[in-house]
Amino acid sequence: MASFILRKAEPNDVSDILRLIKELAKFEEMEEKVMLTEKDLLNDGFGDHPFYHCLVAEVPKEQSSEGYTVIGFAMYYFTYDPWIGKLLYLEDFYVMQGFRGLGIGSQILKVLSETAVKTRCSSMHFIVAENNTKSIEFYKRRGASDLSSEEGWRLFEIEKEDLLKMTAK
Amino acid sequence: MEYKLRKAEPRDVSDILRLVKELAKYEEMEHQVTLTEKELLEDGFGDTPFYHCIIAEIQGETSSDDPKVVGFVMYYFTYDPWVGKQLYLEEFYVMDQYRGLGIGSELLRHISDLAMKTRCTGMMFVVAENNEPSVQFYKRRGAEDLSQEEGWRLFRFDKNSLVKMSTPAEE
Repeated sequence: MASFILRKAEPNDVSDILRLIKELAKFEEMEEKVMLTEKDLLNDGFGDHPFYHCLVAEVPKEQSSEGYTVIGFAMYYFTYDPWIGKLLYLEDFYVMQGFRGLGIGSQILKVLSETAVKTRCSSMHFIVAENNTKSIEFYKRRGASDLSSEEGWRLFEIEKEDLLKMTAK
Repeated sequence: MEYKLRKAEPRDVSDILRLVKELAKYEEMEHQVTLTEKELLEDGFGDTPFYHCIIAEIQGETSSDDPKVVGFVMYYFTYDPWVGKQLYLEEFYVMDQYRGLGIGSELLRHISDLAMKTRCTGMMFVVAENNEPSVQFYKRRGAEDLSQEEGWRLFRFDKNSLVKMSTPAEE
């Protein structure tokens, strides 16, 4: 039976965070799209103004896979809904394959929910790929509603190139 | 008509709330706005701002008239684990009678500039799928519909579910 702890990420964790981001991206077949570096993660997460927060899941060395003790993480930040105020936005959520089914994911979600309630957020938002049925079921079992389905919201993006075009007067 | 854009200040919270309600009314959701001026003040102008606003103001008709707030954008920063900082456009609204003057384009130009200055790799926002004029406004400027292209669906855990999940299970 694996024992694990959850804790707030520290500056030392940035290489593990980047490793797990890349593993999750690989699972989504998008590994080459990860441009972020450890330096970016350090500046952006542990500077004067953190742009994200991380929770990491750690197992004791004896249970570690290939020497890694950090085997799961959640990345989140706060957003703002102009109708109801603060929201917690769950950006990335991943547990290494060999450590699934042990309740780590559920525990991470529990701690995030506590954080959301403590910081007086009205709800937690996140996006899921529509073909990721396993994840969709995981979330729906816990009460999540599909806003894209119910309210018809579509997520848009304007990339740097087009932002630059717009900045030209 | 003369107008100018500026960063919102604490005194603007009542205009911000007014415009938030006007936009919600347009989406037929006005009763869903439960936010108060007090919350907007604490959340936007405290130690850690949870949102930022740019206001569009029309000069009064005579020099003694107060300028009138006629449009705004509300945004904050998010983080993409693949590429880093993003600017998230949460609300974007210009009062009906002040449209067609270029205020919307200017607001968008202003925040695009801000996104570049703060080294964001992109700007994201959601649009209701039936809001054709807005979808076209954005697509004309290069926006891509990620929901369509990448199949992302937006999910939510509301307060009830959060409380249920954060409550320890019975032994």
